[in-house]
Amino acid sequence: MFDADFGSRARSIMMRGVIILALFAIMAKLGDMQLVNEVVYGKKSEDITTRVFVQQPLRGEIFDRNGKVMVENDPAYEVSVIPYEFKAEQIPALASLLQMDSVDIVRRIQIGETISPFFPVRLKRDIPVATLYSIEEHLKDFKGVYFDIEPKRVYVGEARAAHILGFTKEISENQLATLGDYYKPGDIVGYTGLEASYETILRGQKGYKYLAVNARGQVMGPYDDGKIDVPAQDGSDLYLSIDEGLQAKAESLLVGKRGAVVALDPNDGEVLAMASAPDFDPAIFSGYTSKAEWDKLVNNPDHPLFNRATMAALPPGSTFKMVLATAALEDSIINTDWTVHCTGSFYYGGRIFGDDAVHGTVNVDKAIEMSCDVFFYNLMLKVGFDTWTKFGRMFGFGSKTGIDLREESPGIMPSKEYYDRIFGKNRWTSGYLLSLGIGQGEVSVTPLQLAAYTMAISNYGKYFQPHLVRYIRDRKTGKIYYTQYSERTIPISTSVFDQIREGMYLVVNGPNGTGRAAQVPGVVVAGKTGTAQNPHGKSHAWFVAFAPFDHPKIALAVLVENVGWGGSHAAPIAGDLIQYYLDKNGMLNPKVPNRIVATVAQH
Amino acid sequence: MFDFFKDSFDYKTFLLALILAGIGLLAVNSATYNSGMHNYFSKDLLWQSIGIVVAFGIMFSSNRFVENSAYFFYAVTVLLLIFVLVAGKKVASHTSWLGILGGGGQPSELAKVACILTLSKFISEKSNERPQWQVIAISIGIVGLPMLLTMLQPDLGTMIVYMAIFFPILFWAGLPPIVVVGLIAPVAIVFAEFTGTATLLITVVVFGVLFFVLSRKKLFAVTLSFVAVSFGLFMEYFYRKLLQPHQQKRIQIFLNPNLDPQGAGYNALQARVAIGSGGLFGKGYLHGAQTQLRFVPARWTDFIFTVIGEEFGFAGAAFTLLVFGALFFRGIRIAELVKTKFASLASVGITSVLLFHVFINVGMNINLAPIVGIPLPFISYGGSSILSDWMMIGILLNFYAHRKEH
Repeated sequence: MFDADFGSRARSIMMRGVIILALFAIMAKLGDMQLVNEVVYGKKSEDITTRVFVQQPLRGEIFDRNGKVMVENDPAYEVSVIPYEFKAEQIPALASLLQMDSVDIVRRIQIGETISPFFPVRLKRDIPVATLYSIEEHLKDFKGVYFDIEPKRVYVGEARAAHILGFTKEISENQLATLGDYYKPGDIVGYTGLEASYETILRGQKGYKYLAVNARGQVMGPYDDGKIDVPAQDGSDLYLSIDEGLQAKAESLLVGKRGAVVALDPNDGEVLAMASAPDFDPAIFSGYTSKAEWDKLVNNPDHPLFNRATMAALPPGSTFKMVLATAALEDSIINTDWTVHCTGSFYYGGRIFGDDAVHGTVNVDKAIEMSCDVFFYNLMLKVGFDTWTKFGRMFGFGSKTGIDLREESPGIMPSKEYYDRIFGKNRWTSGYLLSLGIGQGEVSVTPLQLAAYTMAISNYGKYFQPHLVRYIRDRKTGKIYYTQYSERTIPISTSVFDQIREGMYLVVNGPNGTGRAAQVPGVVVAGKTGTAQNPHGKSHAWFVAFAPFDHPKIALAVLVENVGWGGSHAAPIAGDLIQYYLDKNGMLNPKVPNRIVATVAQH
Repeated sequence: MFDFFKDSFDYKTFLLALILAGIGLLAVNSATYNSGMHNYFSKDLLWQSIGIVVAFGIMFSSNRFVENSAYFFYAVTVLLLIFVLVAGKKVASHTSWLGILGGGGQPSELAKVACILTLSKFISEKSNERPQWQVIAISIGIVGLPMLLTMLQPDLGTMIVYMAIFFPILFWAGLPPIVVVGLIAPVAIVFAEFTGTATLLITVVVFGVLFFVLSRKKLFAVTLSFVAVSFGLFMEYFYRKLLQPHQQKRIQIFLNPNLDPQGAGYNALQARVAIGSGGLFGKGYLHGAQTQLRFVPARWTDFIFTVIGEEFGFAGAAFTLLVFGALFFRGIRIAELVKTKFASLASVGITSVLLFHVFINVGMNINLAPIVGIPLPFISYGGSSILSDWMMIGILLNFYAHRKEH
């Protein structure tokens, strides 16, 4: 049955019929397209070549609190190619001209071509002016290679403020994937600091210019008379709370050290200065960043890119004693008559907890003045873990302050739950508590947190969200938009704050004060020293301070890593900064004597 | 040797294939001319040369060489397909490019040739020994195995090529028309369903009429028609109710790329604009604005016909198609000339596979067929496909050389 009709004449005719039918169908369709409708398709092939040119907006500028410019834009030259006009054999010559790697050029063009062969791809930005003309001359020999002027960040003034301002850099492939459709390869984007946190405000909006281009690639003029063009919108300017002079002063005082300074205005939480050392020159990133320069920064063991002011989480040492004192006084666990007799050490749980000196019988004010550890060991046992944790949190420890930077660490405010989690339930003893009472052990804070805490003590409990930007100014309309920040009141009575402030007054002005190095002629300063033990080397020196004592205008925290005592290394820096700032604002009165201490000295 | 070329060399088939290879070289050169991919031309030239050497090698082989190696060849390609599934490296979301010899290779191209030979050999030997249903069932198995393996890759285009192997070979083998129509019916109904309810209705009616015309037993025809209607109803239910809207949409876009102007439709539109704007004589070699400006994607492989259509116009496109047509007629002629049943069946299989490639590939360039990754024989750039095209030509030349032997 199968074989009966094998390869019959009828079947071979049908086969040939199918071949003719299939080819005829194709040719009929081809004839319809190419002969009948050639004009229609021809027109389409002309229309389709509309080309888009991106208009880069100017990035917003940044000013200090007195209107002094800190960051502005300068023109820089960049070289780009349009992939479809570009021929691969030009790559070696272009690479040597631009001093680039051929592989890098190929990769950039390939990435660009996947988006559109008609979109210019940036090859190299910030060509040095010296070599500009020789390159320009040669560029005429290249096809599809273009010059363009693009703005470049320029940093003006004495202060670098590298960690505040942050830097801009060419967008990475990762960011391209995550930041959304707005960005294209080669775009400049804020990487760190305010450049990153205010990226959408600073960058503005790109504009698009449409040009009609014929099928041979010749530009015929604006497309549709430019009706669909979108003009670029420049970015808005930032006006900061930073005092450029104070910032420069802070940076100069930290030169050669590792550490940080944060100065706040206790009346509104504005950051007056915020320095982190070592720092870096943000201008390195504004044009073309060589790999060597980048590697040098990233591999530096002192981590200059790291913003210590907001990210270094270290034990606060004795600067933290006011938390415990506040808790004890506010919850009426003690009063100012309650004393401890310090013999220079404290025996607890089979261990000896040391002190720096024999302080004798001290009450809370004297204990703060002399930074007596034995007093606070006793007090910590009396106050207890939970109350201490509660007051620490009230002062904002253990959570981010909410400053307008992305780079911020919350630090650690230990609690019973936290100890149960890291040591295990019942695996830690109340001996651990004693260290916490004097700001050692697991508790860790950032300089910014300490400055905000000092601010809240100085102003009787107002905790303002620290911030760098005061307002944003629209470049086109000149309209000013004030940024909104939160504030809260810490529920602690005025009399308690009076006691604590008195203790801090004694630290700087008392006969046995540990922070006398922070005294400033013409103004009364209050503060507290701290020395954070460091298992890897010398202790970290802390100092927190505010001034003037009666109506504070500045509250600050100073950290100098691995140098030793806070009183000798950090307190003088605080004094210098207070002197500079108050002098600048006419608040130093030579007639004001250092207040004579009312309380009788023990020694 | 001279005698061989006088009597046994089918210069017609060889020359037709050579012309197509020449068109291919021109088109690949033009498609990659402005992209800095000059090695494509030399690589294409290399593969065409290797292909011709392989074709001559097969031509000079003995009478039964092709037939005797069919099963072995089939086993090797099936193993390669499995290997690709397990270890193949991903290229354009398919796993079919074998990561060997640095250049990669597609065993699914070779599997098609192996499948033609194996099906032809099986039917030529067993069709008279076994009942018809067994022959059909085993044939489905022979074609189904490599088809399933390419479907898992997944390579939809190559998969449907197996239909172009299966139906024509069974048809040429003498299978009664009613059976051929009955086998085609379910495939046609599936496609009709995806196109729309109206098309489905028409398709079911057409098959019903065909069943009544072709079958002498009316009861049998009624049964077949009933099965066809039920299957159509089931497909309707499956498509409308069981598939998610996005799955329906994917099928619709597959059959009509214009529904997706940003994705598949973009390619289809660019290809049509390129071909349509070519006119009667084209824009001249290397002067196709669309192809040179790289508007057309994959213009050296799946969309290479746009280069021919734009730069050589209707004249060039029609010439190319006529050369193909002549080659296909030559394939059918060889099927009639040869004495062995195997060679005859294999010639038909080769012809129909080449025809199917041309129809689908050119069809998707001009919006006649869905967009599937099927190369244009001899012309599209790609080592595996060029090699398997020339292998098929070598097999035809071998059959012709031994056409008088049993």
